[in-house]
Amino acid sequence: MQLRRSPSIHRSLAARLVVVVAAFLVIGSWVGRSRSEVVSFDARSTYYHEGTPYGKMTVLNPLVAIGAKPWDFLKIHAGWQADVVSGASIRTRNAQRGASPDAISTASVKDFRQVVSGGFTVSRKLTSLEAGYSYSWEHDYRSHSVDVAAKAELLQRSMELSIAYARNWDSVCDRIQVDPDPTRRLALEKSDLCFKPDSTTTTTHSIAIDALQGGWTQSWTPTFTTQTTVGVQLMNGFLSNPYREVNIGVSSAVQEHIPDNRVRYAAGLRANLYIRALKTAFRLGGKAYRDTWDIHAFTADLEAERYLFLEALRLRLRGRYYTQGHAAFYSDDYLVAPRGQYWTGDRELSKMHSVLAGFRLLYGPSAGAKRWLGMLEKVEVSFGMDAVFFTYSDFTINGDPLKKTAIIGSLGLSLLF
Amino acid sequence: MRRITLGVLALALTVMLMVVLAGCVTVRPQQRGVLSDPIMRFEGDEHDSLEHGQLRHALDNREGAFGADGVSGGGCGCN
Repeated sequence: MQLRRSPSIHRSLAARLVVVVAAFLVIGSWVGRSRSEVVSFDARSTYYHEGTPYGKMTVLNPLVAIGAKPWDFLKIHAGWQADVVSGASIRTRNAQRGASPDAISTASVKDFRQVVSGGFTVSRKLTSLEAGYSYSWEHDYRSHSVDVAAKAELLQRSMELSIAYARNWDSVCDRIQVDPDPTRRLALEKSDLCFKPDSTTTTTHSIAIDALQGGWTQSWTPTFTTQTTVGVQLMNGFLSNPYREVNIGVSSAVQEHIPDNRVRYAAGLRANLYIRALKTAFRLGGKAYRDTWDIHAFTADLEAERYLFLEALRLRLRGRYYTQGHAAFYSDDYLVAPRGQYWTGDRELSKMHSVLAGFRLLYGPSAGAKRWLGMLEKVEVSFGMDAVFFTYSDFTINGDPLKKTAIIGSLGLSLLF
Repeated sequence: MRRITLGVLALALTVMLMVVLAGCVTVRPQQRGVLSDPIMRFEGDEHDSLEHGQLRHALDNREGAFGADGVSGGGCGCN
């Protein structure tokens, strides 16, 4: 994967962004001079950096989102975000016959993924309908996604029911295989020729993803609410990483080969309690997950949030624990313990756990009745930092579990007009 | 198989019981001052929702599980 961006692309994107922002501001100033928060603008970025003994990986995730309410019942939104990836990743373990059983080869990774999205929400007194579309592209992957959602409030707004559905039409690049036998398939070397109509070495595979989620939010007391969510996702298509290689005992490493279908089920319960004596809101959540690859996972998270010193300053502390079992076809070493017709070198399919700890500070003063500069209602600035410690107990290097530490930093600016 | 069936039955009964109990609970509009605060909403305000989305994006790419991460809002009646 190569990072190829020219200055002209930057200028073109910046010009389009300026036009979109200007259009939203014009809409806002035209239809909503007397109303509050007609137009919102968000600019955020996260910085993800992880290190392992085999290389470092950095991902920058900038995001711009704009929303406008031309009428009380309608809200439209548009956004752009990107993933700028650079670093090294593990390409092959146990690659060559006769080599050290835990030989590692790494690959330099540079990629630039972009997503543009847009949508609208139509609201009535107790119900709302949402619809959106997004398109993402990078050198070796493209995705069209459509999502719809509906919400209804019941029992004097003490209960909210929601349902959401999303459908993806994705395409992934792969090498044209001389021999389709999975034990002879070779990994994709580079993405230079992906999605080029005249390419004689690459092809594309399709992936279809359907996701359905239902939610029930209930206010039990003036200071206690719960939210229950259930979701199912169906994936069908070429789900392997085309670059990843695994040594399964033939003459050389072959391309990862995993099932073409995956059904994922998840259910979560969260509770939000405000303790007046501490002037703090506590959020406790748990989520159970399983899929047809036999991965079982559980997530527990705890957050505490309160105002500090003044009403405009909020501090949130959070902790999270995640644990999962390995996929039925995952093996730490296919030479010693093969798992049938499938093989993977994906450590995210191995037995693993992670621990996250972090904080977020948000400063959001309101202008009150008299707007700043005659149009600015509210400004929010936020800064957050999280540390994540991953342990892959079933992805061993020379007998030791792979461990990595990641830092996630975030900066955000929100303007409400 | 029998244990799974009993587990599903117990879960269904629990959910039904919660739904029935929810019908007996009403938090009046004038009692919703705390519930309408961003710190009491599950995905906070829009700013928080974007931040949650970015964190999920970072973690989902590095873990096997996915989904049921909650929905925005909270039935606070604050619109």
